[in-house]
Amino acid sequence: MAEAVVFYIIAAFTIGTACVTAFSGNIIRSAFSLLGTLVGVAAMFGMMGADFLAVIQVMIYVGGVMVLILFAVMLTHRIKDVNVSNRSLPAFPGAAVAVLVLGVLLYGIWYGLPGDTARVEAKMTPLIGKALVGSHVLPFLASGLVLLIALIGSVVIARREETFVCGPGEAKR
Amino acid sequence: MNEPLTVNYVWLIPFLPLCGAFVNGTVGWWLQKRFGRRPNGAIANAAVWGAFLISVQLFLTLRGLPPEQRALVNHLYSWIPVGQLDVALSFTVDPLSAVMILVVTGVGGLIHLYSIGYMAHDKSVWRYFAYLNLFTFAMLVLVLADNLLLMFVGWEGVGLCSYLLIGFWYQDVEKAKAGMKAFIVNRVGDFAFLAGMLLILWGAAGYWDDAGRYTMTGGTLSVDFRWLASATTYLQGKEVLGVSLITLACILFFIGATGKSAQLPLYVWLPDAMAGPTPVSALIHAATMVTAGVYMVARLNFLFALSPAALTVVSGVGAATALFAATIGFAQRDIKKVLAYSTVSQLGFMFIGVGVGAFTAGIFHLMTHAFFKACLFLCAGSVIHAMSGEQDALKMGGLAKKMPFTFWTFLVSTLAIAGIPGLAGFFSKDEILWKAFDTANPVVAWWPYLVWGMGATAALGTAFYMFRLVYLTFAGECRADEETKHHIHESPWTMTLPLVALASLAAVAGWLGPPGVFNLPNTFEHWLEPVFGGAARHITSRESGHGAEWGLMGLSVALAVAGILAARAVYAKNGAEAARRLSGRFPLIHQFVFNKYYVDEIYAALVVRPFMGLTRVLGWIDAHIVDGIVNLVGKVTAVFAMIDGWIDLYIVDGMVNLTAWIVIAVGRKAKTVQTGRLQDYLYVMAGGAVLMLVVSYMVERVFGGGR
Amino acid sequence: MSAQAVLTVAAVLFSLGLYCVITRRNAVSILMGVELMLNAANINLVAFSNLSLGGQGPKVEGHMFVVFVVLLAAAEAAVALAIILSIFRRMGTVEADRMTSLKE
Repeated sequence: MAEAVVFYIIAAFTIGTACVTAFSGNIIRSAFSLLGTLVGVAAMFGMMGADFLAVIQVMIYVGGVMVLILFAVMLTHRIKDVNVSNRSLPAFPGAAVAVLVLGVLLYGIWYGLPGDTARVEAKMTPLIGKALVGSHVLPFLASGLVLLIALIGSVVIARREETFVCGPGEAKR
Repeated sequence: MNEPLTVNYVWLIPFLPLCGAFVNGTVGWWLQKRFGRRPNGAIANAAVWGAFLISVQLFLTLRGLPPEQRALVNHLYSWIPVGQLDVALSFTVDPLSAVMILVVTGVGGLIHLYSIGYMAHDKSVWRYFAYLNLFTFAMLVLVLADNLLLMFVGWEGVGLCSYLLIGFWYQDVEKAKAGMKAFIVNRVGDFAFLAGMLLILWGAAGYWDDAGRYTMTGGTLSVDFRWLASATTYLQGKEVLGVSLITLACILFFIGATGKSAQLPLYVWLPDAMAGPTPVSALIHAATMVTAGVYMVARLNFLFALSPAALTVVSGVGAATALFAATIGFAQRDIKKVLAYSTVSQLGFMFIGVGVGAFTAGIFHLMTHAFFKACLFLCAGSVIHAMSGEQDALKMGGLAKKMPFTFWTFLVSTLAIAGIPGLAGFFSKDEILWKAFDTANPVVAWWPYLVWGMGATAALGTAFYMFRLVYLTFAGECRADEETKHHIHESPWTMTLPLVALASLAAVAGWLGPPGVFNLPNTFEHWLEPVFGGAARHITSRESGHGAEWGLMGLSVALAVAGILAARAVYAKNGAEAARRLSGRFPLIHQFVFNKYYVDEIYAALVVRPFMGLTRVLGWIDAHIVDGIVNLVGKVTAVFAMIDGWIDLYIVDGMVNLTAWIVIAVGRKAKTVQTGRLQDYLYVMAGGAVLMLVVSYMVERVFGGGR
Repeated sequence: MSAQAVLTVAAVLFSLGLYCVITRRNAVSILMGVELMLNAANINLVAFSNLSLGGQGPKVEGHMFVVFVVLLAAAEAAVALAIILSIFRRMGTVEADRMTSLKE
């Protein structure tokens, strides 16, 4: 019972912050509430018995990706107009498509699945560890390579071309 | 069926050349800049010769086993484990692939050695050796592959390397185009190979029950060749569109083979492939890659043996190609083009061999051909090297004295290819012709006579045009200008050593498989017995007897001698003059043959130009008709809406206007589908996904309820 | 905590992410929507992995997928943000519907 209560609190928190991310007109507010969503998802991982995933969710998403997004927001917006600049397209068709998708998904979930618990008691972390150096070692190594390439690639892409001098905030050629 | 032995170092054979390619491909340019061209060649040679040593070791291991156990498997890992399907990345060495890896690494190694001398003046040697090693890797994967999918990987790999090497001097647009032509023509064949492969797996992996539903057979499907061989009983009797599934698949496989092995009608790329460096022509376009098709048919012998119709097609196409290419060889002036058409012709012989079920004879000719044709090409390379790049045989002559090594090795190989008794070509070609004559054809009774006749005529032609080439190049007076004449020299030892080695092989290799009437041990046939023994049960001899075999042998020797004498009579003295006189006397025929029967032009007219035209027509249709229709529909609807609006002013006014509005809006939307706006694509994607789910659900509800 | 409840949360997150991607112009916001969708997919992977369908017990495969998805999402975010930065320098905007120079 207590578990269910905790779960619903976490679910409400996650969905609430996700709503703010999706609907807010202020991009800074969006970014910070995405932080909340990510933490909420990490908590859900924890509740489902996936401790390791909860930890890497916090470390990589909250620690890494969020910082990147915040930097991007700050670098691409001048500080003075921090309050505006999250213009949207017309909301109606987007909302219609999203609701349609949601409907189909919910139908599938509630009528297509056996009601079963999603919690697992087994200790997943040692299994993941073994799998990473055992059956999945090739993808593991390959993803290391991908990360390296992404790192170098993003440095190359984001590098300021030396040929033209730009002052801070100036974006003209 | 014996469980094959496991050996865990077979993977080293392809891996070593891959390492060589990797080293030369990544740091080769630096090595070349820092230390000169030596390290590049040394690395590549070390890789290939290392692979050769391992191949010899495996060969000896294999020989130490009793014949029925001769198969070594090296299972690396499960490559595609999907459901019941489990395709392994694994290599097999059995007698057939042992022969192939020895040929590929041995001849390949000699050609690598030769390349050091031949490419000594090129400015990107590292790239050359990287490609050459990569090719060796791909070829070894092809012959060692344990299943069709892995074989296809090697098959595509050699195609890619062939393209890279033909267009090696890519600054020359003609050469780059030749590379592309080879790639595209090969692609046609590859598609058929792929289709055949999927067809055979589909047929072998499951069955249709009485209700017509397809069900997979139980258990794990490891689709390797041993499994496939045991599944043939299961394939027999299956039909696709009224044709036996085995026949259809075999013919598709054979179309794949015609692409890679340059048979009619897909041979056109091979003569153009001579744009690559000469050692490449020797390695890829004579000795190894082009024989991949023959190897594939031999590897699938258990399938082909079950389909007399497919075998008839194979031998027919082989014989036609042998004869057709030999006639083109009569009129070519470019020394490499002559050898190229000779290769096409000899490949035709190999297909006659495998096409009459004499797989051993086909593979035997593949091996001997690899020796003498590689030698011929390398000699041609040596000549071209000495002549400062001149390839026109009419401008050569008198080279015998200046280049003794090249001349004698060329002569030995030419005698071998012409079929003079005692040399390799005689044994293998004669074996093929004898089998072609002696094997019964259950589909067409007179087929053996036809195939034999075409083959024998082609053999006569071979002797003639090869000796024409010898006389034009080496005999008489030198017809080059003074400048070139001054430069003519014998090549360095890295080039002559492979020549001598290959010529010796071309001279003696034939004794591995002497004809049955000689009463000598036929080592080669015994060696391949475990692989082809099963298929041989489906082939019936016509029991023509020893007398006939002796007679046919005598006849083919007589034909070879006749061809040589004819060439001697025409070209021995002042060959170039004779060639010109001949072409002057029969200008029409000469033009016709010299231009290769205008096949390239016919292809351009029948395939390439219509295709280009079609794209243009489609473009026009899109621009004028489709857009026009859209606009017209919009306008017509609008007009109708207006008329209706006047007529039914009060009743359907709103509805009609709505329809018109929707049509116009949809038209406007549809016109701007390609907006470049992310969101629009997402609408379509998400909407489509939802639609698909809903529709599949509906279908399940409406049609699936009865089950 | 039933599987259906967890999957429902994931479905809602996914739809919110989809809405975000569809309606936003700002490339950074679109990226945030993508992250939401990825997280929803991750929840699904864990939930289905834990479902003991067919009595086979939990499988580690779903968890492995999540590990790789998170890894690749990090790489994707880094590259995407670098591109956004680069575009911003060149064009002075990060609004996706104005980046149409590839269109012509």
